Amino acid sequence: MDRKRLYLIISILTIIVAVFVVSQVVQRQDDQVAAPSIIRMASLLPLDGQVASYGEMMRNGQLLAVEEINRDSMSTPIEVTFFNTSHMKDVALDRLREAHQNGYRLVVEIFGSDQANHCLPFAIENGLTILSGVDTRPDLIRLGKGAFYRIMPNDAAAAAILVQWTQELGVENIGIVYVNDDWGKGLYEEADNAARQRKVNVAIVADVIRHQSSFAGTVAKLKSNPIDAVMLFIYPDDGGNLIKEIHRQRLNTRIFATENFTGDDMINAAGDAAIGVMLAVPKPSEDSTTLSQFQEQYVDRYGADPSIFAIKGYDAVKTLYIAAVQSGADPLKTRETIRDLAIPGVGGFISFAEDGEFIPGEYDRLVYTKEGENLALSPWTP
Amino acid sequence: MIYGVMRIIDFSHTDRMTIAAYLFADLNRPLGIYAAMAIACISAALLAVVTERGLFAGLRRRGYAVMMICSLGLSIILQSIMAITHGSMLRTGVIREYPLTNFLNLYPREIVLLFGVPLVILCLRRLLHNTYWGQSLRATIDDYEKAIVHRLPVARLTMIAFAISGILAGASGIAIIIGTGVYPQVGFKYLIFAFAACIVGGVGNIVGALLASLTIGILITAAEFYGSALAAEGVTLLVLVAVLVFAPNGVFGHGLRRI
Repeated sequence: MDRKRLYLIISILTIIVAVFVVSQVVQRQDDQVAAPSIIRMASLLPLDGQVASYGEMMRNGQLLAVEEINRDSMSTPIEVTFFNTSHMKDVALDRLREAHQNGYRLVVEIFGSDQANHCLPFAIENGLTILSGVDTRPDLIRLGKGAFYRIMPNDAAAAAILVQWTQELGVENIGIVYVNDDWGKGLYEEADNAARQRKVNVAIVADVIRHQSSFAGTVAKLKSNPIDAVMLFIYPDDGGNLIKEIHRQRLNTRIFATENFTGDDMINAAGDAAIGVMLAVPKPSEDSTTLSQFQEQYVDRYGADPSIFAIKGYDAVKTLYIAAVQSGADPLKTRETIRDLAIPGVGGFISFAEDGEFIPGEYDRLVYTKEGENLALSPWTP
Repeated sequence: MIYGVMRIIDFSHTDRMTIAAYLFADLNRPLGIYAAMAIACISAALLAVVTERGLFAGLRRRGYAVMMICSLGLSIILQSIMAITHGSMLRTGVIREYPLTNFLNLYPREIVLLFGVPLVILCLRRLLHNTYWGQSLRATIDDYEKAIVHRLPVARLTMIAFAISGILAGASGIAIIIGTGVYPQVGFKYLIFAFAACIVGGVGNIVGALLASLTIGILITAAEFYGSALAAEGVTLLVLVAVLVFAPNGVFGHGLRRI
């Protein structure tokens, strides 16, 4: 090869390398300059499988929040990308890795306490910040080491409220029915602890599985022990079928449940058998227009009343967004900002303790009553 | 019956049950309960026939494994379609039921099933034993190749078997959605139980399958009462395995064939 050709090849290669290096430098500068131009969040939800309906409800609530934020041209726009976890721990971790690879540092939901717990080491190691609307396992805040936050009272708080209520009513023996997954088991364990502390006897415990085809055996088990009340830590659609069976077998007992029994799922299955079911529900926003506006928007968009999942999905996006904007979308700064937040949400006031735990507000005590042809939740009176 | 004529488990059978359930739920309010029931059952039968004609008939020559895999694929497709059109939530509350206090707190649906199911079984037995088509169908089930040699209309008989199974699947779907509700994947759970009932009762033995179904139901309820709901379904399948090991022809395999 003659020298001229050699010099030509070297020059071309040098130009190519130089162009590449310069473009990388320029892009990095652009990235730094444009850092908070859009707030990007990942949302890890079960969009198939047995709890897909709850994942879809959360997504609906989150989408409403995204649209609302983006409608305001003065706000920093937001983008939420959904990743399907199929409610499986390993899949959730894979999706989180995928989200991280695609540049997401803020995570607005890893649905499922088990799933969130499984992802925490990765989140801690890679500086991600997670805010959940539904994960209630009590030790998640401690295990999250500052990477995990939630806007739902943990199981211990919810269970304690219910046990306190039963104690005030003079109930001595209770039965507990729980769905045999991480959520149900967590609530059962906390309720059991709370009952022991308050000297309420847990006379009988029965587990159910998701979408159980018959509750005849479960109710027969409850009937085999004298109980004054039964606490239900199960999904509302299954809960409706269980309450229907309780009514059919004439098990005369008070029925207590958590806020997931609001909404239509339980009533559709139980019908009039739901009359008298008592719920402890976190007080919604004191600003009644916020809640009613949200409900109107949700009904307009999706044709159904919003469930607790939709409400928490909406609030989670809004909360994480506010924290992210205030901290320039830096995930580590966002963690500190979240702790200092004190804002009204649709589902209630949102604030955090020093350790990052969500401070539960007051609870409403509600009971299902018949109003005309329909069932409705009314304030419970002793 | 499908297993008898096809020698495969049709995984999509219980998905037709679910489709009929959703159809009934959608049509119940506008058309009334009886019209909705009729349309649901007929639709399930038509879907079964279309499946047989459109899918299995052409695949028979390719072997049983291919047919089973295709039926599994069809099942997943149907479940996905139902999930898209109806969502993944449990669909309940189609009809508000009230227990009849004078009848052991049974629901009207349960009373209909209590008397209706034996009646249907009896009619089916009559059909299979006392009619030309029934006897031809039994002959086809017993020996498909011989039926072809004897120039029985096997294609039509297979269609009849699918149609009858479709109607029964439709009726089952309606009973289930009124009772505890359905969701797109519910069919698979009931497929396992249905197959277990057939194996325990003896393949081809209708009365045996009925008795086995009752036994399985009692076992599940007893397991929920004495143990854990998580183990209830496993216990049932343990019984199935035990039967397969000790009595491969089923508990009533040959003994009740003449009933």
